[in-house]
Amino acid sequence: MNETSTAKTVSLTIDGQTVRVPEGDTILAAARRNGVDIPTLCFLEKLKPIGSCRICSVEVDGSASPIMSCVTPVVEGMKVVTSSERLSRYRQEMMRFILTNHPLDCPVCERSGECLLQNRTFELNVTEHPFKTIDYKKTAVDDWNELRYNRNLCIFCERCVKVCWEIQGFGALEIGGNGYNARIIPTTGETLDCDFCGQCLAVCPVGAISSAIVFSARSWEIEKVETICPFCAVGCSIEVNVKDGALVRNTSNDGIGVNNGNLCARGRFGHESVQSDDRFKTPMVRKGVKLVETGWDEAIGNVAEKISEAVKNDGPDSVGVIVSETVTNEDAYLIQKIFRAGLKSNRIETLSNMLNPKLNSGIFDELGPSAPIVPYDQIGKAGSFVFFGCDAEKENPVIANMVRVAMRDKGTPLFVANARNPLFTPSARQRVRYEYGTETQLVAALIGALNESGLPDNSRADDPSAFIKTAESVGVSEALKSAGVSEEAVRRMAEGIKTAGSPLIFLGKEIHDHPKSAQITRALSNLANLTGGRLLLYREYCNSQGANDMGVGRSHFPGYLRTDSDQAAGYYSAKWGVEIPVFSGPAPDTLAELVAGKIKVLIVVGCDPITHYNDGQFVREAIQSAGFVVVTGSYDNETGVLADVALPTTVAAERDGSYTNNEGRVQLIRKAVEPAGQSRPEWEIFQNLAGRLGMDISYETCEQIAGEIAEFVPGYHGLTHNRIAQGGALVDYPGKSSDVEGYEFDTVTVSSDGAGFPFVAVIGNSLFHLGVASRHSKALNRMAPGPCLEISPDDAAAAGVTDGDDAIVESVQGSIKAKVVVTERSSNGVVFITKNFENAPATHLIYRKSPVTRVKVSRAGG
Amino acid sequence: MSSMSPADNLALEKALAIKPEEIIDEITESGLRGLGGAGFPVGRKWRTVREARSDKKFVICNAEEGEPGTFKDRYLIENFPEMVIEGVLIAMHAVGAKQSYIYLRREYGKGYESLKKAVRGFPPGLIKKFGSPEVTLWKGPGGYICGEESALIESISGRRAEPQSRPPYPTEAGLFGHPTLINNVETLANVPLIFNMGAEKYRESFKKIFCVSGDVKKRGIYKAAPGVTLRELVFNHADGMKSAKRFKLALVGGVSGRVFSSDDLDLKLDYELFGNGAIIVLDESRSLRDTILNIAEFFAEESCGKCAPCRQGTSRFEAILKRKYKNKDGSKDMEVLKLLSTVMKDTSLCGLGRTATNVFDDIVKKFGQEVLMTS
Repeated sequence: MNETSTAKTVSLTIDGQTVRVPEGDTILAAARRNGVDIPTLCFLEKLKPIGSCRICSVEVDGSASPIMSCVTPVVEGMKVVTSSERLSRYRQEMMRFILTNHPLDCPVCERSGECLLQNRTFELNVTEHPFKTIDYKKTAVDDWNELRYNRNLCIFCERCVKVCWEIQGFGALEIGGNGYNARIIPTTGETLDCDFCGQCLAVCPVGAISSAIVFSARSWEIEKVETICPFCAVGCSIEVNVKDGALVRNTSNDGIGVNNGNLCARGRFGHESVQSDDRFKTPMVRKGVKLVETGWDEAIGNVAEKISEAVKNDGPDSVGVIVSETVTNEDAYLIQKIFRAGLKSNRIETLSNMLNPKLNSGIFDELGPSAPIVPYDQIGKAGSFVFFGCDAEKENPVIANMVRVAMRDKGTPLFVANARNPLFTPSARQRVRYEYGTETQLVAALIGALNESGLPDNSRADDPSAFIKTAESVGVSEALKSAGVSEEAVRRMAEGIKTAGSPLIFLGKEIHDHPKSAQITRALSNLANLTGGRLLLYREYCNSQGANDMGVGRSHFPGYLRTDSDQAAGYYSAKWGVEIPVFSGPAPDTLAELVAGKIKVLIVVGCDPITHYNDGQFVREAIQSAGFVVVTGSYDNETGVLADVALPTTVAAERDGSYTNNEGRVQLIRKAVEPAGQSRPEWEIFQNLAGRLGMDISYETCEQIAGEIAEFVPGYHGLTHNRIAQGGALVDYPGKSSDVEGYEFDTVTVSSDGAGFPFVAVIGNSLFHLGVASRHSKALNRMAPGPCLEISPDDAAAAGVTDGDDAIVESVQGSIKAKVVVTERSSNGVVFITKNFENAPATHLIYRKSPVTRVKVSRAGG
Repeated sequence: MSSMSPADNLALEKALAIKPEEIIDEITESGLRGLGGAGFPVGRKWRTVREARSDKKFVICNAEEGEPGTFKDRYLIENFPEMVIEGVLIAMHAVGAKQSYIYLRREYGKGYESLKKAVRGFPPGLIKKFGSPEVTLWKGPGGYICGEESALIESISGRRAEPQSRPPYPTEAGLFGHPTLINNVETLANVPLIFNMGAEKYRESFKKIFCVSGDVKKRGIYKAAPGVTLRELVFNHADGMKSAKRFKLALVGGVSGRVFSSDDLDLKLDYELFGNGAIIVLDESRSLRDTILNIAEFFAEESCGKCAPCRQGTSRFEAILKRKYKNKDGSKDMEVLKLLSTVMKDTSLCGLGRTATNVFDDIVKKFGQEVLMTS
């Protein structure tokens, strides 16, 4: 259906001009659509109209008193006048009202110069007001943990309260008190205990809400550089605020990028990591047992020498690289090119590809056109949302914001299926909890129930039999036996999804890291295709998608061309002007190769596998097996301790490049501040190394590499820096036009011996930490100083721990100390542990030999 | 109060026997109008909710009787709770609602108990015939603003009682976003009477409840047909002024209502004039400035603070009246007060801000601003 042609319109006159606008427009929207400006103060496009400031009044024929344009829908034949003597007077009166209790502290206010009240006062020519300011009880500024609230500056626009509820789904703020004595108060007790996304700070039009991170710049001294947030995979646009070379804060802006001004705690308050004192700034080489500072020349020379030696003695496969998913596309492309074209080695990995190649580099081989990469605009078009093993609001929080907006504006229903009980606001239409490990049974039962009640019309399956084969062979009741879900619940959910149509199914980290992740994904792909829906897999890091796209994984070249294919090798041989071998062989395992002594030189680029990969102790031993270890990074870390050469790299704010986000959008990152110390972007380091190795690989700039990507890499054609500078561009992924397939999948329950270890452990990110950098932000460390163990009230009682205790969490592999959070978010038998803490890495609990990690919990010191 | 006899459930039986549409016809025929102050035709409101398309609808009985000088709803729920509940049940049946709320003023503890008792007293068989509707007694958090219907809905939804912009009206998108009928206690208590008597007889015998208070001999509840004069209510029903002092004015409709001076004693009080039926009588010893200040203090306290004109206006109003006027005769301040009044009336979000200065305006109009000017 063509929306524009069928949407109803309304005709009205605005200031004498007859206009036609969509039905449902407010007067304000209709006016702005037609280039007529009406001043506003509390209005914010992304929120439902609030109507508190009463500035946007207009005259409407037939109404004695003025009408507020922001809250009033247009009706056919309406006659609107947007400026008159009375309106000017009233608008000025409103400003005088508001200014009565807003002290003119502008010279010392951090919002001065970017204050909406200041601007409106000027625009509406309010030069005096007749009222004496009544002092509130001279309240001190409220300490809201990471935020500060100054009641005296607050103008009660209510944006903060609304954004926290409508966009963030938290409802951490409300108005307390009445009338003139009203104030904004936290709903979380004495002080704020929330997501600390800072949306309230961002939408505050004045200086009433400020950050606990002291901000000493004046707005006119700041240069804002638009770039992409370097934390999770959402790819939010941020503005890095720089004063005299110092990064003073991160902001965003409604209307730029994919995030519409929304950010999470990491994006908004994680910027201290950039110019942190902890930055690693000088190249170092091991002399004897100690790492000592050196110059770039010696360091790179050293690396080149060791690589040449290894290649000469043990062949190209003796050199391997593990690349962070936070490096840029250009870095990733260059590194793999140096390995494949220069060294003829295919020993190139990301941690995600090591863990789960089928859902990373192999995603298109695995799922073809059903691959779970979906443009964000589909969120607004979905018939329903299904969060499957996905803690949507904690994992990639700004995607959750998009979901919330769709639920608010379109009433899109939400269904949740999880082994835990992650919360979401607004609430789901239906939630089911399955036993961890029975995911495929649940999906089989859903498909079976759909099939029994009649498949929906919008099914994408021409021949549904392949899609329902497994489900039919198992049967609904049989499938549910082990899943712990009632048949009634499954039938209701199947019916709900069918009725709402076109589900967008979100797969979270629980699924990505699941021992049966590929099976579950195939099963859900069947469900999606039967119901006209799509899958969206939450990626973890800012360039997880890009690293896959750039061929950082053993199975594929850039653009998902298989490394074991003659044709692909031929393609890149031609493009790169050098003979590329066909890399074939069984699925390799970098860690096993290390342990077996096959990899002599290991380069670890920008990541800390010991902290972040499963079973860190084993990883440590594996890395130690390499004769020579090179580690690049921006901070010291656990893996860096093992380095023979350590090379300092820039962070995103210090360089140019591009990331590809969760929806497959390539976006430009821009240099905002000078690199710390001698740090360099990865591409420069590797360019230098290539030169030292005598390779014919030479780029002057990062942009030049992007130019080559835009020329050679399938899907990336034309995506030069110039092309992506404004709003980025979506990658044209392979296989879009091919037919979708139905998959058979096995429904074997994943279980493990629970003796002595009563809880299944799901390990993931908190809202506050991700990867290496976040631990170097003081603010984020205040929000989350260490790992948390989320445990259900029953399990906590059984384990003898209470909320706030320090607990010892122990698996057969190891143990860590974590803060107990007793919460209904965890269901009985499943605990959740937050990772990313180098001093207590939850990943060390995961054991490689068993598919499910089980733990026991006891009180520390108890 | 003879015609308001405790219900014998006859009305329920009668209403059950006819179709919902016919109930609404009957209500329309009776001429019943909203008795909470607005006077909106009840039949028309019910029909709107009946015709609204939604899988869920709600009925709310507004018993948040916050207007000073009003105590009729309290009288009704304490003495005739069955009639209120019958009204609610008939309304639910008529509009197609399965759930209803009786939103009770916090201070009405006795009323709460009597409603609870009454709800339990209904014959289960009869309730079953109504499809076992759900009636929830809901104690408001307290505050004048909770009587404003959109604020009341917010409050039941678990949010701060804050008025909302209209449209959408509660009849389209009210409680939890569903079409919602909100009627005042007195309005709903009249519904069973219509079915007991029949619409025509009811129309002829309809009596409005007036709450007469202030400087009269016998303060209390009085029933009278629309068109009754203030003179009859004050001097016949309430037995005249309390002392030898003369009548000065009455606030008809409470502190947000209109001011009647002695010139207005013979005006006929019909729907447009009687408001909610509150009549506060003041004798000649009362200071008009104190009256205005008293009311200003009330509204400054009760304003929810959401919209700028009401939040700032009510407190400004109070502050100016409380301090010494800026110039000797107060004329400068009077200009500011008048401007405040106009702006608040024209731009406030809800009725609170729009009516907070009604009494001030009327006193200035009827007694001259001079009576307020000397400080």
